Amino acid sequence: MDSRFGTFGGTFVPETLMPSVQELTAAYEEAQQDPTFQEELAQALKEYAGRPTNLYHATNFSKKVGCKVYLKREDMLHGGAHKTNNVLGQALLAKRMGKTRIIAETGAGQHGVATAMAGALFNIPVDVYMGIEDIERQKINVLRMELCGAKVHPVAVQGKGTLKDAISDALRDWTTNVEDTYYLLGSVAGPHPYPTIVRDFQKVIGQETKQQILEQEGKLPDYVIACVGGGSNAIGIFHEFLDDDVRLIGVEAGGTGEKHGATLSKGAEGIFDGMHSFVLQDKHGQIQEAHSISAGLDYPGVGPEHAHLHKKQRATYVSVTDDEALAAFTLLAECEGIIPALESAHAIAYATKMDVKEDDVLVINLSGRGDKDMFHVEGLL
Amino acid sequence: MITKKNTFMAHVYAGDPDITFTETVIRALDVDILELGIPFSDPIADGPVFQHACQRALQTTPDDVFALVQKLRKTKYTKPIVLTTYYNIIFRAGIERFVARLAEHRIQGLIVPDLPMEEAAELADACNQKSIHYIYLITPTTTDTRIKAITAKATGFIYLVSTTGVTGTSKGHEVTTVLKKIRACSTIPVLLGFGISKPEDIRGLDIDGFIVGSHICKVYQKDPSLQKLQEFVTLMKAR
Repeated sequence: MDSRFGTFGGTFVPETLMPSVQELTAAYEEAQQDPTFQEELAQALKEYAGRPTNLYHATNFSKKVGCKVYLKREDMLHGGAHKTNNVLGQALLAKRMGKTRIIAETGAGQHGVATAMAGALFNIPVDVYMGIEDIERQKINVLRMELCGAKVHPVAVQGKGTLKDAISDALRDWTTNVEDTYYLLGSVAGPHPYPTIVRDFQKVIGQETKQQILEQEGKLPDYVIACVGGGSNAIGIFHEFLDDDVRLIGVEAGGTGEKHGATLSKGAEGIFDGMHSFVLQDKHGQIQEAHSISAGLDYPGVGPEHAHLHKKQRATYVSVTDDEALAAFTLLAECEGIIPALESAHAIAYATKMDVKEDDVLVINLSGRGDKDMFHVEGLL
Repeated sequence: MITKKNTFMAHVYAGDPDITFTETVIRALDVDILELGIPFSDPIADGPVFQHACQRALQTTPDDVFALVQKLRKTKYTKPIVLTTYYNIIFRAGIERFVARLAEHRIQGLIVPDLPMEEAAELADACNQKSIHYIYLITPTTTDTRIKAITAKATGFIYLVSTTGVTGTSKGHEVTTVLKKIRACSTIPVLLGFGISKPEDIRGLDIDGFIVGSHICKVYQKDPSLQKLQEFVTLMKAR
């Protein structure tokens, strides 16, 4: 398994973790070849998580955009977001490796919730690291994790804490408890082999989408659009279309304009969270805080495969602001009766800004549902 | 760089809480090697003590740290200096440029805790060309194959991590086993670090020296007059 995507990726971790990273790589390669593992995963995805998810022709929203728009309904997956695809795969891998404890980081809380659910399902104790600012923004998800039996550890550095701090603490936990602990990373970020493992477990989104759009439209879409924080839902839907004549657009968090999470559009190459990728950093290489209305896009790094697609211009990365995302959140609820996650609302927002032709076909990955954001947006709408 | 048994290397993050205080600490530390850290915003190999030290020191730039080294060298500070920082600081500055600055400031070694052997080739080669020791870490989890590969490349000394953990924590003792394995395939000196705060932590071990970091930070924070720090150094040297 290649540890790089072009020049990006790699394994930038302390020596303590190297044997574990290599153990994980070997175990994953073995699992991939094992039909029993693949069957077990396919069964869990179908019967527990509810795959396949629908590809829904959103006729009302299509009118607002000016062409045919399909929504890939990952919001209808058990757990309320695409994150479930990855955790089921990795929790089965953890079980297979004989690990007795799972740790995870979470930003928006969706990955934490999904991991807590998988822990309950497969009877493995789960510890989740979560920044204190995210805990505040995503209280409902904290309750959901705790209800499923996970322990949530608040992370704060000098009174602040978001996803990047949660990842750092999860890595420290893993470094300390490396023998029995499986680190279930939630995005296509971090050290090799995670960007590949998570991509592989998420690419089912694109595989289904391709089949569904061919059935429903008889042709491939002109555009596939997804929001990008770490980038797992975007890679998940992009991957199947990489060799096709389909334009791929990743939508990053434009934040307030001045403060943002637009790592690919506005960051620079660097080494962060175990990977060589694009990073928000100052001129000396200190990692900077990201900002987004949505906790899931509030991350100063991005998956190395996106960095590669960006550099070789196979995918286009753009950003929309907090206000635009919020407007799209409302718009989709009003015209379709679908409340998107604030993360997914970024992709929705970009579609409304595009210069499309009437016969264009757009697919937007609706990566999660917005119930978790209700309290957060209450004061903002 | 290691000239005697019982070598004491002290690890200090520059700029905690400011560069003047760091200079005072360095001058008060009568140790054999100074390990000077350039603070990083996300020090994943460091425990809470150094995480907070990095946060307090975050305004300190690589330029400030090199200026401090220059000042030390100008005032006849002759102890070997090893620089420690995370890879992004070096990557951002540019490997060639960064290593040239190490040489220019007569810095003898470089430690990058988030850069394992597999990713280190370019930087290690650049260091070798300037006769700077690129210091490799070995931990209780390092496999036999890796120990062989690492000791074959290593120069200066091996930084042996005493625990599976982050700096400032101490848990279990698998050190003797890994130490034996290193000795079996190399004559390179071994310094033990992570979680060392008292003579008992290193007593009876077949090591060439030891590294103290977080504990020094704790001691100078509690007693900024640095009297306690000097007592601690004396105690450790007498082990």
